[in-house]
Amino acid sequence: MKVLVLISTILFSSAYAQTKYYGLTRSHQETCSLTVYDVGVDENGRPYAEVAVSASDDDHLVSEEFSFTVHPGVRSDLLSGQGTNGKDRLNIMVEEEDEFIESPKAYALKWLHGNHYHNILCLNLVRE
Amino acid sequence: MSNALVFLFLLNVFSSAYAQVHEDLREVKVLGHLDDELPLSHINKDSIVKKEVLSEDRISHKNANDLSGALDLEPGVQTNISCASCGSKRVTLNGLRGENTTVLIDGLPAFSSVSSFYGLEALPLTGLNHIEIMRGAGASLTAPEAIGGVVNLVTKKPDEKSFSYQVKGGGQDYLNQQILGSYGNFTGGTLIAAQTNHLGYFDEDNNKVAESARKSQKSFMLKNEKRLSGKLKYSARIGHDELELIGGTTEHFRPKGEPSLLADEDDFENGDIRNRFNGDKSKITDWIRLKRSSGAFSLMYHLSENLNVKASTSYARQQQLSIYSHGYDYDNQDDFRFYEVKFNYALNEDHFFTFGVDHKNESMSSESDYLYRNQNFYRDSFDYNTLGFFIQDEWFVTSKDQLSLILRLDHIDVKWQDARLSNDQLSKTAFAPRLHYKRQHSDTLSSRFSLGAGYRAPLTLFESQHGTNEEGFDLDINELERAENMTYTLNHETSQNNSALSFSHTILHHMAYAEDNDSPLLFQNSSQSFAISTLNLIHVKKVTNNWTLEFSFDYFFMEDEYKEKLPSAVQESRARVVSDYHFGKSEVVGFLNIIGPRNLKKYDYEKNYNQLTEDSFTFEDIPSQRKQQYAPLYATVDLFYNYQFNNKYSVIAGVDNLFDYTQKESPLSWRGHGDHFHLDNRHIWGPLQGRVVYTGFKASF
Repeated sequence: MKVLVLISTILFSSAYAQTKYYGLTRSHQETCSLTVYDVGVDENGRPYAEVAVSASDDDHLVSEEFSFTVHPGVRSDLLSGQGTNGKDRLNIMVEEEDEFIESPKAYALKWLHGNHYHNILCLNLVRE
Repeated sequence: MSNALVFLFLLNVFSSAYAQVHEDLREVKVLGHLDDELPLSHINKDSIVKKEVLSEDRISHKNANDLSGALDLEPGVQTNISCASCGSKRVTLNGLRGENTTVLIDGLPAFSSVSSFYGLEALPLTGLNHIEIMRGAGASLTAPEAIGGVVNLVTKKPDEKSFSYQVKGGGQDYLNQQILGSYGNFTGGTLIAAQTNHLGYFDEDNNKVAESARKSQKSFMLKNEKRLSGKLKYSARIGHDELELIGGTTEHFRPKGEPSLLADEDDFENGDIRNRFNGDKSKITDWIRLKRSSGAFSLMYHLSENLNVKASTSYARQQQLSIYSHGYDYDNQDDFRFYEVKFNYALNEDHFFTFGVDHKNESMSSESDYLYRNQNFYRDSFDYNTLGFFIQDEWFVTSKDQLSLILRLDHIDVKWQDARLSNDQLSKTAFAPRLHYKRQHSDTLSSRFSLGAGYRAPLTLFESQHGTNEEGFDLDINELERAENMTYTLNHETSQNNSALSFSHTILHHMAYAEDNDSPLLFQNSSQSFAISTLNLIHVKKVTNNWTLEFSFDYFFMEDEYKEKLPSAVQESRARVVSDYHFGKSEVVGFLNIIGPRNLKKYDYEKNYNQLTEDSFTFEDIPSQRKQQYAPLYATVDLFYNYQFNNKYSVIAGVDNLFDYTQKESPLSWRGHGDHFHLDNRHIWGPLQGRVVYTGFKASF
């Protein structure tokens, strides 16, 4: 079974082409982006996606990308992931009947800035 | 410190040899009211300026161990707690803010706007003879920045040989010790005062977050004054105070200073601050340490029968080390110096002139690993210089009319040290006239009228907000705060009664404030002027030879736009009854304090919530359970008992807050700030400290 998962993962990931989506932040109507680098199934049989999101926000002049590995979340319409620092968090909203991450609609990012968090909500994602 | 002690000792030895026994009566005449004996009553009847006096006994009856405790609930005075965890208390006069109160020691400035933030908590009361409160802008010749008024701490004169030791202790780890020694005679001498004081935390709602900080304080003061000849006398004083405040945590915990995360909803059960805190202690702990060294020296010389000159200087160095629950460290050193040369000249029987020049210099330098090195936020360090000229004519117009006209001119320079600030300097020349008029209508009835102006350079920036904004602050201060004030007092005094009705009206221009929603906080001058008025009525009645009753009532009128800029809700109306009864060797004093209801929405408390949850998609904070928006009428009672065995020994007992009344609800809240909520501790409207029962012993020799 593990061998099958591994093979499917390799086949699937190697076949996946990087996809980028653009939307607007709710707070300042600025362009925000979601880039899906890879999708697959991990060794526990859970689908995953390697993604990066922008955190551009004119309040704090941060324009960097945050990378996550997201999995199906607590809600059927959410994919969720945690940052490598164990603090940053990402939720991607998808159609409930979505083929994993075929048509993301929006994402919410909570990222640690010094001793506090900021939230960014990116809406109306459209494929590039 | 040791050099200063040796200096004072040598000066004392030297001066003793030259001390003269003859009092120069003219000095008393030229000094006017400065050396007046204090009347029994609350109001100093001889002063042109309305002056309320707190005697040493009153301070003792209130079981006050610091200045804010001594002054709280006196007419027109409020003690505002602007931050429950950090334990900061500010003394406000006539409804103005704490930074508009100037504190003098023996008439000389002793506290800067920065050091008044925690420095007043460090100040001991041991060694004080009495406290004078003069309300209104420009109430002091030497303190134009006293927009709210002046509190003058008058130390004891070392004119006797005495020694006393007092210890008091009680619940909440309360322990207070005071030592006072005096060695001198009517020509002067030396006074030594020392005090230690400790009071533990209060956690009335048992959520493991203290509503009132644990406080430890120790102080030492040495004063030496001497009349060197009939023409020359000096006074010197040095002091050292240390203060430690630990707020928030209910455990013996001192944070290490490593930046921590702000507390969030996961740190309380169900995200509700009324429930038990189960997060990292450093997220709620404020730890402030203060060391303060101060001193003053003045020399008075009689140049002629009608002219004397007084040269004075005072200094204070305050070092603050703090670690705040916001997850950062903040230290500063504030050096304050004051120099003054003042002439008193009796032109004739009717005109007494005072004129002179003074100079203030304050330099504040701050450090923070987190704020400055890690986050690269703007620094709040500054240099502040003023040069002032003043002249006053006290004119005895008729036997019933007394007029005092004061003109004061100041040049003020402020240079903030961080050039990145939107505006890093302020240079202004300001003119402040003031007029005091007293009319003696009859032997028992008098009126006082004051009209004048004051101004203040807004300096208490970052520390006065102590960094509640996670993005730091910016500054765009272009104007001095200015105020015009009018005060009228009608005083009726007989041997059995003393009554005073007082109305004060202040218009405050260019008030410096920070908009709560700005990020970073932008300190700026308000384009709006605010009117603040105070009505006071006090009636002291000697019911019998052994029993005195005092009734007082205060009403503060403030505009809503002003209220919402205040750090926490103030008292708007209140009444007090004080009963002082002597029987045999005993004295019983009771205080009934009644505080009127308030609408807390006016103080921007609508943003305060008890519970916070997180949206499952957006991670956004969802507040619920808005905190109480109405402060009810409440009353507190304090009792004091003293039994005098003989002229050497006495015992003391008392209860502060007899019925254990506190505001019950925690001052903690989830406070809305922009698009998020953070843990805040300023939802304050009532007492945060519960009942303290104490007893003590005093020995005097």
